[in-house]
Amino acid sequence: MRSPVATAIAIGVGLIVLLSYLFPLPVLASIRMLFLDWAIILAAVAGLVAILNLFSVHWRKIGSPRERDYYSLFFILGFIFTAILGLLLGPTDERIRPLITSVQLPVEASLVGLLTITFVVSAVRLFALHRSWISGLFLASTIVFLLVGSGIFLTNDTSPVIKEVLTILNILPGAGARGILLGIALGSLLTGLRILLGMDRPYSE
Amino acid sequence: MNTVVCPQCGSSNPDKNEFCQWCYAPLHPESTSGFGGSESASIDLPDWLKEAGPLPPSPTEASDEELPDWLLSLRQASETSDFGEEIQPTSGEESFLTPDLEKILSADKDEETETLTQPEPLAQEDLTEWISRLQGEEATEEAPFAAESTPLTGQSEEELPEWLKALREQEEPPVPETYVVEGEATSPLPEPEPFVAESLPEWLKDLSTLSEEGKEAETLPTEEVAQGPEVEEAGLITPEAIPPFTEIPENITAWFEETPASIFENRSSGVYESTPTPEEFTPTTELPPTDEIPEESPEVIPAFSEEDYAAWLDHLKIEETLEEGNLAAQIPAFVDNGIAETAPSPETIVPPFIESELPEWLAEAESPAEGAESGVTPAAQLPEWLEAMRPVEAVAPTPPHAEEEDTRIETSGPLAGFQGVLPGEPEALRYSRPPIHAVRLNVSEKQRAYAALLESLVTAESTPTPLRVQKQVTAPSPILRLAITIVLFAILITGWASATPPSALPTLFPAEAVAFATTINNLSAQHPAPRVLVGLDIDAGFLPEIHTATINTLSDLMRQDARLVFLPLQSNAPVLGLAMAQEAAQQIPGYALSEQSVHLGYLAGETTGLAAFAYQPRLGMATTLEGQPAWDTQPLIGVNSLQDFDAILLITDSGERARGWIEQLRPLFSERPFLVISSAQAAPYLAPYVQSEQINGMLTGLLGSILYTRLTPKVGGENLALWSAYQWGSLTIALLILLGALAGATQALFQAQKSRSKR
Amino acid sequence: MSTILPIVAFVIILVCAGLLFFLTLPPKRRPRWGLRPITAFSELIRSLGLSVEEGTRLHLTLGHTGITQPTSASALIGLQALERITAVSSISDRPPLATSGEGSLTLLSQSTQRAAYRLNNALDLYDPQRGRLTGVTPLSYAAGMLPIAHDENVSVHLMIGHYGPEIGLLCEAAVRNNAFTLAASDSLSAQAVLFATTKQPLIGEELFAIPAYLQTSPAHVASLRVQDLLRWGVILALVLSAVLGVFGWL
Repeated sequence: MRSPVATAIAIGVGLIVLLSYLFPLPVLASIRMLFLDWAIILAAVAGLVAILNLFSVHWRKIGSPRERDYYSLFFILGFIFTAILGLLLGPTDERIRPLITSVQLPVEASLVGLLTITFVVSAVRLFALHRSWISGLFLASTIVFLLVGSGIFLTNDTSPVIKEVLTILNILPGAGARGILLGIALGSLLTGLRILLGMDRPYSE
Repeated sequence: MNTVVCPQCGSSNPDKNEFCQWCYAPLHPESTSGFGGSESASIDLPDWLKEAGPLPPSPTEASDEELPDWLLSLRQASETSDFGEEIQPTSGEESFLTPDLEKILSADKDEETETLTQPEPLAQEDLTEWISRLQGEEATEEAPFAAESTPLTGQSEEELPEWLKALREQEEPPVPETYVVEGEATSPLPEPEPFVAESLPEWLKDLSTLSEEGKEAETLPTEEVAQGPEVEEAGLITPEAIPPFTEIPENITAWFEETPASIFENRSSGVYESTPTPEEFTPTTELPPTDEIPEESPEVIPAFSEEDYAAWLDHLKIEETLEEGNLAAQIPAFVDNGIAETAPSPETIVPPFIESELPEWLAEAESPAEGAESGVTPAAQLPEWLEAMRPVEAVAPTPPHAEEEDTRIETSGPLAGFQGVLPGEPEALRYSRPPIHAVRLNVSEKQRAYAALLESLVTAESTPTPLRVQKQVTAPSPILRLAITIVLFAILITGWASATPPSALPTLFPAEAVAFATTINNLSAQHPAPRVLVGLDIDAGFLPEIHTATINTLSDLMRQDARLVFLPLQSNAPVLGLAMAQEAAQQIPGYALSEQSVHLGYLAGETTGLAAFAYQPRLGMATTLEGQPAWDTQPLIGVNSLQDFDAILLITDSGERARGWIEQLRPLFSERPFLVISSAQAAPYLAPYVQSEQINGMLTGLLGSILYTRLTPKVGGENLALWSAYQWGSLTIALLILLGALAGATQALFQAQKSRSKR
Repeated sequence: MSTILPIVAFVIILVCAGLLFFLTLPPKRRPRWGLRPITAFSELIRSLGLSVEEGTRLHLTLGHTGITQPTSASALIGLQALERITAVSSISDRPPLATSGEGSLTLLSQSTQRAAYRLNNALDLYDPQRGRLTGVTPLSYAAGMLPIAHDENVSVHLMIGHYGPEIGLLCEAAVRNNAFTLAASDSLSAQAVLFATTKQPLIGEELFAIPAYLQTSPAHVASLRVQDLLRWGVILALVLSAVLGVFGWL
């Protein structure tokens, strides 16, 4: 058995949090709060460690003779500049804010625009990927809900029949989503149970 | 007639016999001492065996008084010899022989088991002594036997006695110098095995001395046998050294006279039918009287010619070296007649070699006339096909011992007295050629099918199989991608620029949008200066979609002098929250943003942090974004729990993250409005929560922004340019997808027809 | 929250745990259940072999959800798949590469890879930089994976975790590089995108079948069985509640 101490700790902490959620006794609630605070701190520290890992990866790419990537140099420079400026000025400074609103936001927004084009191209070529009736259904529903979401039917000119159809159509995504989410919830429940029972141990080496 | 049961072999004998006519054991054991001594037997034997009677006497242990004189003298002489201790007669039949003959036989057997091809040369002293004795006797003695044998050399075949004729016939085949075994290269014959001088019987030694005088006259041919000084030096017996059979000792003739004739008669009529009778064996019965032999003989003529002796010696040697183990053949013919069980008749002898493997001389030696006379079909007369089919074992050389009936009697142990209980020879001595199996196997159809299956499997393993080519997803061509991009950009820009949407502005409003607008605009009516927790769980890339709705909502809240508490859960959300609050505040000039709003720090841990914040907000997030104590600021004064907030407004682009807010905060925030502004992609996910009223109002995407603007009239009005571009873009995308689907379906149809026509 | 609901939830959890234990035990009298064939997994196994033979890299991305999120179950599934795949392809010239968009998930991916190398007695081959963080926001995470798809000679992309629609960018890059793609997510928007952009998408709770199909342990097969039983229980409860609601008994 690998890392029995870590396994015991994981099972114990998981059971306490679960029981405190189901049976909110004051003692359990206080212990749960303690564990939650630790989890928040550890998550933040993990984020910091991961960012350092990201930096080291790109640093290594610059010096790697096999997979040298000169674009990593831009990453290193941008990382150092933003970190120094943020540490010196703080996140609320007016001079820091444009880094987010004028650089990150447009870049990510353009990626979303690129996604739009990608999805359109993929949908156009869907029959080349999946030649089945499911693909036809997928494309039909895509077109229908694209039109419904555009709001062209939200006018008084729309006939009562279409209104009824739209009402029914608006229920379908929610129903399908519930079915899928129920299955995912069951899977999540059993995945958590496996960790609680020590059958899965992603935390130990 | 009274009979006596032989205590050794159990056969019945006439009462008058002193010796068993079958095993020649004394019939009166009380007068003899048992083998190994009766005393020891009486002491060691169990009671049941004692009651069964004394052990049968061994012939060698029989009292000397009962033995004939000549045999007694021979016994005494043999006790002084070197080989006396090695002679262990085991059966009564062997005891029929004289001890000297037994010596010869046992010595031959020993040599046979040790090494046949490496004869140990006789000590020269022994040989010379023996030869000199023979030569001296031949030279000086006028033996009657020599006189009797004189006419033999000059007589015709008809004048020879019958037993001598038989001997001559047996020894007539010439001995070649080489022989062929199974097609191998011819090899020279091994050197003739020398006779051990001391193994010769005493009476034979005497004979040789008697014929010493005639030594000068003996000129045996030397071409056919190995001889010469080397042989003599090596202690080998040359034909010259073989004593002529000129005389039968007196002790032998006396013994034959004393021995009852019934013994020989019974022998000839019993189990020894194939053996020559004692009459045939005893030359005295056939020899002419000694007075008929002329006294003055020009030369001593032996009983057998020199050729006979040479042939006999060679024949003896050949049989030894062929590993046939035919003991009888190694014994001189005249002795052979006395060995009953080892002298099968020629008719019953199984040839030791396959017919085809016999050397020429041996094949020729087997006279077909003999076979015809005996009524046995000669092997050569078999058809070839039948000869080829016969099993090898049928014609394989059979060890002579195999045909022997094991008549030895156990003399010790619990099996004492039983005959033929234990095998007379080890199986290792049974030589037979390994069986030759047919190359063609007898296989059934099932076995053949299995073999074919196995062969196909092996063949399939070694045959390279081409990998199944996976149908790769081909990347869309750059032209298609570029064309779609150009079309979309053109439509969006055109729609933005024209600001003319394809349809009229919405006049029908979803219920959640109406509930959202109603709740926001009525907060101040229920709670003056409402305290609103604004959750910022959004990524920068998706903010533009809901930016308009967010700014309009915040401005409406500011108009009601709401106290806004911003709680970011994404790393870039604090900055985005600051920017949106400032933008919204610009629409409400009298709103004191720094006093009426507070930006809490980034809440790490997402859902975990939310859970902690939901239960104990002061512990969950203690500081502002600037690092100041959060709960001392104006908006948070008096707030100790989540219930102290009047409403929760969540701005998110993810349904999953919105679920975390609902699951963690909603149970502790009952009967208060929980409002959501989300991206369009999260709408299907959040619809169930809207229907279950866990979400009291929701705006989704760009449509939500237009709807909210339509529901709560603003100064700037609806953004028709954005609305137009959105609607035109949606319709264009739907049209492109439809065209792509039609093209794909048409292509699939053509391919199906093509494949059908190929068939 | 009423007092009865926590008790019901606790009982359900206990029943699930008991079923999981029971079905994990080696079968003696009860029949063995087989897994229905899913083309995606057979293609994955084939692609794994080809990847090792060709000396190309396998890329597994775990999404951007935190380990403390409700959506972390998909990330845990991805970690189990990562351990198995790392174990079978650790001797490759280009060992597997794991990327993620959240700090704790990155650390766990490194730990998982290390465990796989240690179990293979090849700890000296372990490189912590094969568990990377590519971005701390969903779109930056997706953008950070694009260079990997284009420049690191990746022939197999496994996408097992929680994503948004941004995963479409990686799928597009994979198609351009003729790489095999297997994708599974618990996100509805991601499933819609993956269906349109990948050859072998796993829909719905097929995500949770990945460890069982990769033969990680008997517990995963048992988990699938319990999941099936629970699904039938939920269906039965929904039908009953609907009938009772129609007749006004609920």
